[in-house]
Amino acid sequence: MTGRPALVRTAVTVLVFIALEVLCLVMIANNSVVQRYKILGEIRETQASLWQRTSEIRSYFSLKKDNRALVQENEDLRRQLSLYEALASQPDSVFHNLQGSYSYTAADIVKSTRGKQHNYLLINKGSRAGITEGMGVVSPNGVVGIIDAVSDHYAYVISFLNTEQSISARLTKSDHFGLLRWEGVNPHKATLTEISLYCGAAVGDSVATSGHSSIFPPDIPIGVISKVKPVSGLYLSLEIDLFQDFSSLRHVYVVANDDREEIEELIEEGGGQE
Amino acid sequence: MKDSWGRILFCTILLLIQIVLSGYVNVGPYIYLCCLPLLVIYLPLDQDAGVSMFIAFITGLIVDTLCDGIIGLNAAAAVALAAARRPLYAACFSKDNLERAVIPTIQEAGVLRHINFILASLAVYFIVYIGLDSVGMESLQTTVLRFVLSCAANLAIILALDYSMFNSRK
Repeated sequence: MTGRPALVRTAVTVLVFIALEVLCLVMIANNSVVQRYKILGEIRETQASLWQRTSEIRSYFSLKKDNRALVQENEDLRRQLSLYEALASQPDSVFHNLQGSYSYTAADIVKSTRGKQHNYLLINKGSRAGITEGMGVVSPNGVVGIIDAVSDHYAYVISFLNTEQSISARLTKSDHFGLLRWEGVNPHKATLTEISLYCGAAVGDSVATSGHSSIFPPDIPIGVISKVKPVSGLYLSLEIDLFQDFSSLRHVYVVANDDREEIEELIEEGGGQE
Repeated sequence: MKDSWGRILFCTILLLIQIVLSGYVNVGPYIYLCCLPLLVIYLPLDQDAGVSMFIAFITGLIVDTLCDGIIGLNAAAAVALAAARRPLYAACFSKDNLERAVIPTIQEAGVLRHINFILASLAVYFIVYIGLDSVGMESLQTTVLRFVLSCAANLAIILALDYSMFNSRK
């Protein structure tokens, strides 16, 4: 009988101790810049490592699913490779590297949000792995987002599920392109706007990246049209069912366009003449 | 009632001494003179630990405010000391003393045991205080030097105060 009150008293004492110490730390952080910097730094480092651990545990339990996805990706790559080999073996064919020079860095997601209007992801590769701001993030199922900030070991990615983010996408059948944007409601759907009325888009047609930006390479599959809607009799607004399921996303690739600097310099020069 | 007034008077005197030490006594950057640990050490032992921690927190905040330091530093250290007080007491003094819930005088416990207890209490206090104060700014050698010198200086002050204020308790 006496055991329980003693246990409760100990628990209350521990809670009071933790509460008072946390209160003190908050006051110290609010009253001194150096202490705030250090304390918040430690908290963020601990948070990131905690997220990494939980992410590792989660990914361990999803190994089977990941393996299946990798097998599927391998199959797709082999198919593409055999196509390129066939093209290259024809003696009179002119083989252009239409995709430019892109390099990929694999990364794992350590934290992500999906339920907000401005969602983000945190990946476990940072400036030490050559990641810089403005690089694209993709997965085999489509576009994931754009790198917004980097630390030594982590990078902050503005998710495609962000109402302020839009990417250039095209209809694979007709090559018409427009802006693809998430509307902030359904994480499985996005809207492709500014598409010509005469593009002949139909439900079931597929949509991929256009390659018109220096961030994402062309032809990354994004989704299929689920609804076609004319806007003011001028353009079409297409509802797209995304291939990417952000709730099961764990592994991504950071895409670096090796010619990005050159392209941006050229754009700047062009802009200067206007 | 008389006991409560005595405690309030004791706290007030210690706070006044603390203000004088912080405002008028400059002993360099390596020594922090503080009599707040004495106040926490001599809180009633039979009092609930949560209440002791709360009193330590409030007095720590008062010291922080009156002495122009970083608000929360002394409070954090005082709360840690209030939490560690009973285990330290049990480790340094006999079971008989713990049951009586009275901190024995130097004469009762012996000089060595008493110094051990005060030193262990000061160590807890200054680990938290100096740890938070010099976080990421000072080298390990400087921090350790500051810790050792502060413990030694405060041990001398506390023993002197202890002797002068509590000698009549016997």
